[in-house]
Amino acid sequence: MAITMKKIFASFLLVSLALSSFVACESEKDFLTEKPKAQFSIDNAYQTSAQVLSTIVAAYSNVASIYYGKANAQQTDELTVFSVFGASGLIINNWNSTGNWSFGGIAGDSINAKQMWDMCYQVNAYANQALYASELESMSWSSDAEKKAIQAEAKFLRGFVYLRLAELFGGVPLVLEYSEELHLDYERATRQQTYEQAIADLLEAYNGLPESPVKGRAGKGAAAICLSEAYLGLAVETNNSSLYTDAAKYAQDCINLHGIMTKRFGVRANSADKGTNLGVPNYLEDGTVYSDLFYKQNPRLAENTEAVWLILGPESYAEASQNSSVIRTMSSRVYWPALRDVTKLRSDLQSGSGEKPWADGKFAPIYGQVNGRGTNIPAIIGSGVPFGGQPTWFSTVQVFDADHNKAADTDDRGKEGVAIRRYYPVTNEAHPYFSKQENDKPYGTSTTWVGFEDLDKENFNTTMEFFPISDKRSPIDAWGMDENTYFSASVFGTALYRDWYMYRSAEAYLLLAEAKFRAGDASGAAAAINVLRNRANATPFTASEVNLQVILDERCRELMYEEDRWATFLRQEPDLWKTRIWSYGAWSYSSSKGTLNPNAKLYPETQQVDASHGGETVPELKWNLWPIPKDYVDLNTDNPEGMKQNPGWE
Amino acid sequence: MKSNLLRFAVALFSALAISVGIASAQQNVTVTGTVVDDKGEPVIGAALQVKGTLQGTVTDEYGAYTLETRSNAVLEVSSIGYATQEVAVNGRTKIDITLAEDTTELEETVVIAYGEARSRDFTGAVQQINVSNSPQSMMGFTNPTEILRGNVPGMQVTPPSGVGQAGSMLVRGRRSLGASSNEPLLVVDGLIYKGSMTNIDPNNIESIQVLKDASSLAAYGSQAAQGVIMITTKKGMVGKPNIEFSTTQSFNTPTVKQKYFDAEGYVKLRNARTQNWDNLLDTSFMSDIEKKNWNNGNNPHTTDWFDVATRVGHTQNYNARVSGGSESFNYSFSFGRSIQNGVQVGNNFNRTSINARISSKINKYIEAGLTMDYSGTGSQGASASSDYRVSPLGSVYFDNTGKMRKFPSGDDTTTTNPLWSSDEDSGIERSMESDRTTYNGFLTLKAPWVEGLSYKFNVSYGKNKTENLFFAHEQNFPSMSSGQNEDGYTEYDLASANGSVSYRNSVNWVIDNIITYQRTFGRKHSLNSSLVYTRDSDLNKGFSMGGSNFADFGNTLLGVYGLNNAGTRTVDAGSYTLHNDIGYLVRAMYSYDSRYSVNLSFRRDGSSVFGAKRKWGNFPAVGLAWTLTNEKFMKNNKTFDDLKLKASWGINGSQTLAPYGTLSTVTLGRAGYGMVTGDGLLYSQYVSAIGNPELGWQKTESYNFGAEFAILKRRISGEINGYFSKTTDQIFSRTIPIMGAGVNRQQATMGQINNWGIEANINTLNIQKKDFTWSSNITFNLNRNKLAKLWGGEDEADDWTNEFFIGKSLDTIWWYDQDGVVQEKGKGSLPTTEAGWGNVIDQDGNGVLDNNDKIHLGNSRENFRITWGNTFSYKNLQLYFLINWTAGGHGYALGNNTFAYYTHYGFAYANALDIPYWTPTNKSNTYVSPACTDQEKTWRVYNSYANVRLQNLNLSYNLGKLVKNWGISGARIYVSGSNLFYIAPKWKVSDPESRGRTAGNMMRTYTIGLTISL
Repeated sequence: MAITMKKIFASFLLVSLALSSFVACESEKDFLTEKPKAQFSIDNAYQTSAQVLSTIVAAYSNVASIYYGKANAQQTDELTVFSVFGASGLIINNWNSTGNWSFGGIAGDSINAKQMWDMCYQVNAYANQALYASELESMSWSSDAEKKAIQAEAKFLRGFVYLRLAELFGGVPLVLEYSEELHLDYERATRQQTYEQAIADLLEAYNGLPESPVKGRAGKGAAAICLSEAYLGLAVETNNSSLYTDAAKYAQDCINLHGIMTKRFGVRANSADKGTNLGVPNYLEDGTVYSDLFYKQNPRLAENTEAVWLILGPESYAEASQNSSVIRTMSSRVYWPALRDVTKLRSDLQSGSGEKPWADGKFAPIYGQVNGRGTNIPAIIGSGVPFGGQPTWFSTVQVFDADHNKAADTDDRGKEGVAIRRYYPVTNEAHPYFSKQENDKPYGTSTTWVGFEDLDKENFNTTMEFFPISDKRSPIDAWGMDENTYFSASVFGTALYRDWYMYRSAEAYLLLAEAKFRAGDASGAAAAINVLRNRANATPFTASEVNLQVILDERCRELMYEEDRWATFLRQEPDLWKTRIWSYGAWSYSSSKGTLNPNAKLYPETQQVDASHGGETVPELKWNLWPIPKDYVDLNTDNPEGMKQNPGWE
Repeated sequence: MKSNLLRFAVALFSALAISVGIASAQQNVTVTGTVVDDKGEPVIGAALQVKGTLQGTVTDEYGAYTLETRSNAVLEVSSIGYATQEVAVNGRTKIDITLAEDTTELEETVVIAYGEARSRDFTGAVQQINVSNSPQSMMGFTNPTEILRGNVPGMQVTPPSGVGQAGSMLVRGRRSLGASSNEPLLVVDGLIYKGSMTNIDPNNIESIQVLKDASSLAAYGSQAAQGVIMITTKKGMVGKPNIEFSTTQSFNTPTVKQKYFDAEGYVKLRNARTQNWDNLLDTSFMSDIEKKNWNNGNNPHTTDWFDVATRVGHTQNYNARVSGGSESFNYSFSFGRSIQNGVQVGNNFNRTSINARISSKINKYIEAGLTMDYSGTGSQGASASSDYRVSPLGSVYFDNTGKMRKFPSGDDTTTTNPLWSSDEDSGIERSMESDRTTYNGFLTLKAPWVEGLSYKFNVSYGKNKTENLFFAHEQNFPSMSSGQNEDGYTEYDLASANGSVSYRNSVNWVIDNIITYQRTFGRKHSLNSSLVYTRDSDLNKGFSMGGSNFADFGNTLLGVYGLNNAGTRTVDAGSYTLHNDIGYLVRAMYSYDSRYSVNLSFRRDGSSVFGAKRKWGNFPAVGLAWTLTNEKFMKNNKTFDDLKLKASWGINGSQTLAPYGTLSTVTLGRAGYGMVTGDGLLYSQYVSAIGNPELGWQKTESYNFGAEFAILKRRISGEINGYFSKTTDQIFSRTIPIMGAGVNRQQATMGQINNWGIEANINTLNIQKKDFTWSSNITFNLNRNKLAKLWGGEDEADDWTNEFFIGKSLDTIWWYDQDGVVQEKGKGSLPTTEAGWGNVIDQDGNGVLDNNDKIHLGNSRENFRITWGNTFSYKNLQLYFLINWTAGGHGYALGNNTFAYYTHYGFAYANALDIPYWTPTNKSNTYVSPACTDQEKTWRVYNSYANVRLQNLNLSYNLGKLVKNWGISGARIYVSGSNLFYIAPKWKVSDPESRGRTAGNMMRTYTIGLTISL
């Protein structure tokens, strides 16, 4: 019996062991090795040239994420950015991420500076990844030229971000190879070395990039304009005036490759076009060549030679919504005021879901009833949450006055209702403002028009809810809206699809003017500026009238919302730009974190210091460069001296 | 699949019912006799239970009993202090029984990892709860976490947040910085269970063991550090077939009814927000509907949204079971159905479970068994929103047609009707179904040639399928202008209609190979040793897709099945994760003379989720026990009937990493960003996460010291444990310089968290008389944790962003201090604070609130907890209640109670709780003014949620003989209540335990139940 049992036992044991080894036949090593199926790893990611291009796309996309809104340029003399948007905007008086209202007593942990830094180094890392991948054995290229062109594009992006880093942060660590190894021993290069690295990369890009790139990507002209800017920065940094020649040369190169537009063109310039959009005629009779530059998708037209480097928007609502998670779409509404019933207190209006300015006419008296909004009234419809960037009084009004612009009314770049809208119609007869103003405002119709000076400022927060808009960012009338979104209750018209300029060759004239002026050629500088002024029907400047401040004024008129204002400022002498922030900046923004002082009278009376903060006056700016993100200073434990903070931020 | 299983179950039951009906046609006899102890003294109040049934009786003051039962029944005789005995009736009518004193009670075994251990030798800390036939089984509970709540010292269970939810569990305190990784490991019938607690029908549970100390946990190595919950399910009993049917019907109401302002209060509130105090005349803020309801004669038409959105919840549980067996074969089949309609309108859930267990002793050496568990859960429709702050002057329905309004105020400028998404007028269809099937098999072989040596092969295979369907028809997007009359909406936005489908599938298996050698040598040496080799695997796959905009198609009649007609169609990225583990365990439990016991174990674990350089980890543990009462020098002691001291040390791990968390990953295509170019849309590809091959398990090293005792003839017995643990190698996403790879976070290990605690479990037999006994169970639980280290290094700084403070508890509350309400502007701590706003203290006096003004206000965990369970038995009547005291004091048990004080909410139109807020004429120092707009900065109230509650109450009656004539062998009826009553002196407006605004979070439950056994 026992013997039989042993046999039975042995056979059962065999069977179960066989069973268990059947499921467990994989060796332990294989069983524990991870083989992800739904994701790539770096080991198997690169085989085709298209994949390298995809890594370049990642870099471009990152540039777009910051520059689509040009939020990094904010709170200078031209724009001020509010709380909600503060996460990506650069708000001087909110530098301290813990929320202290402190214009001068500042910490280096500004989230805004960090985002710019992170964006630049991500672009740098992707450029390095692309360069690394382009040399992999596993790669197949159709031609050597294809490889060279892609490498030139990677170098362009890397050069571009080192230029920005040098301008904004000064000297930064130069990381030129892709590595996943954790380093805590970074060493800042000097600012000069950083500019030089940018120039070295941009020169390679200049030599390798095509003259006519695919729209949305960089070509030779983009490399040229960046080179011009880089040489200007390097010249100021090193006090080496011979470099102005290089700056002028590359500016001129860009101008040669991308002639500026001098005649009306594009979608709203054709007088024979009888079509309409949302009830507004396509043909804008009093449009100008300057305003034509910005209408929806005019930037990408083949005839538009002025575009140097563009960020393209989706062509349609359908394309945008189909790819909403992929395309980094700019929220145009960031630059829209939240136009609502301006007689109400802000606390009444700060609501949650569903609030729309026109909802059953309730919040829309200022531009009329629901059925009225398809007519030729401004299509500025506040956002669900009023956040945004407000142009300063200086940039929308003052810079066009006779003191700054010789003759006040002739400049196309400040043309009311075409380039800038400062007045809004009141179509609701019941509204107290309807009869408040005489019909002495532009477009003298039966409608009452209201501007900032008319508002009841006790009850109304002009900062968020009412300010001028620019044609460059927000449609000046309903024509610019997308009909798919204009009537939709869920997106309520805020989704706009348009192209944005990273660089336009008008800026090359301004770089040229600066290079010439700094090299002592004032008349050359005046000539360069006057190319733009003549186009805009503004009175030309004489050579004696030109100086660096005037060039900064001109940049504001021409490039408002477009240029990276902080980069322009910081690459120049601190005395130059600090006075402008004193004189024109709006830093009445007062809250310690996120909410506005309901009594703030910001616009047009700029420069108010809120007494509720102990009557704090604006202290002197103690710094000349943005702060190195505190995280990276602190993390550099293996070389603490290597990431020394910029003066003024310690 | 599901309906097939149902059919199968029904067929199975019919067949079994018939066969059992035949088998049960047995003769009945009346048995009498006495129960005495080994000295011949009568045992009063000894319980005689017919095994596997509810039939039973107790002995009188002479130890005598009479019991009518079947001639082939088996009697189970038990009394506290004596060993339980089984006696077969075998047709006898007089049976005298002698109970041996309870040395054998110590022979009881505890279920531990991969086997069992003798209680008297056991060195660890394990809490066992016998569920079957206990008061906990009569509460109408819907998932096992409710059984554990308040019953396990050292364990914290939070109540579920609605029907179909399981409460979250925490054993011996928070060990992880990440809040999500503190849940214990779940083991069902000895096998790691990958399903969730909601899959388990409490009716099927025989007992639950909670493993707490390192030496008990070490056998589960890298998965064990957060504790292990072992569930043992019911099996067939030796004896006649038993058919049992039970049902509970529970009715639920919120424990707290929130009272909001009525119409008048609302109008005043709205005006007060603009400092227009006590004004009932200004109605300019009202919509037309609000005006109409306000001007409804002299009697405003008011809606109480709390009432409207809640209802009396109803939970129905049904369970049927057929079980039985012989010496060589036993079986159990059960079918359960739970239908749960929660307190929140539309909060519905149901579960169907089918369980089968068969095991057979093929011969003396071989035993094999098979189990199958199916659990299908489903929920249809959407729950009403818990936002009751809608204007009381709004209307729920259109007057003429009774259709539901989307916006109670008639326009879309205020909040949505809370009932909207739960109503069919909303056009929302939602269903979530989840099926889980687990098959387990085991084979045990005893080696014929070596006594005590056996081999067990366990295999478990489980499949989980979850299907989530959602569709919002165009009816959910009505045009407001079309709802201008009282008939309802007529125009809808097809472009907004949208839907989604998602599927998740998981397959997991566990294989255990267990060799056990268990033997007693001579009289004094006892050895129980095991060798285990185990592998487990868990594969998860998921796919989802969606679509929106049906404007071009023109209708949504096909609902979710017509997603292909959507204008915008999306396919989300598929997910795939595979998690594999391997474990080796060597364990030896040795006991000498029932005096000294030692438990040594060593587990070596490999896991796929660990980094390439750290695939394997070692987890040793040692446990020691010394039974003093078996020592000669204690022979004469009169105090202790039993006294055992024990200590254990060990290292456990926890797998806080997700699969592939240690690898670098490349994001590409639609998962990443792209850009529009002249050549169309281009996709990107880039390294988005950097791996770290050094990542391993989170490690907890812990010590446990305990004592088990029994005194006063075992009328008081219990266990006290104290422990200390230190958890290191927390996996944490740390900031790294972005300059390297363009990535600024990387997972790394860091930190140390210390836990210590004391817990006790005391059982007392207070009164034992004929017909009446009163016994109690007291548990005590105290736990403290502390963040000992963060990054390490000499002078580490606190991490303010993540609110990690070195030397403080993870549960510390760090916020501004606040002292009443500012009565006059300029008189507050901050000169800028308006009158009527909270007086927030500017600690450093710099005029602004910032992190430097935040202080440690207290701790969000309880100070300690004491529960007191009592069972009274009188004849066939049993009363049980459990009192649960959550203690505060010394800054403990603080919860954010802002909701009870605040009237602004940031929404101008929101109604508020009916509270006496600050006005210039009613200068409250407690409630801020409704005009206070700065909630974050000026008002956050922490109150103590310390409370005492009557958590469970149960009264049951064993019908016994009364039902015998109907052919029923036993029946029990009962009524229960949970959360019937509490006292929380400092907590307002919500239940102090759930502390949520939602009514369904904490329910007062009234249950009636019936159990019948044939």
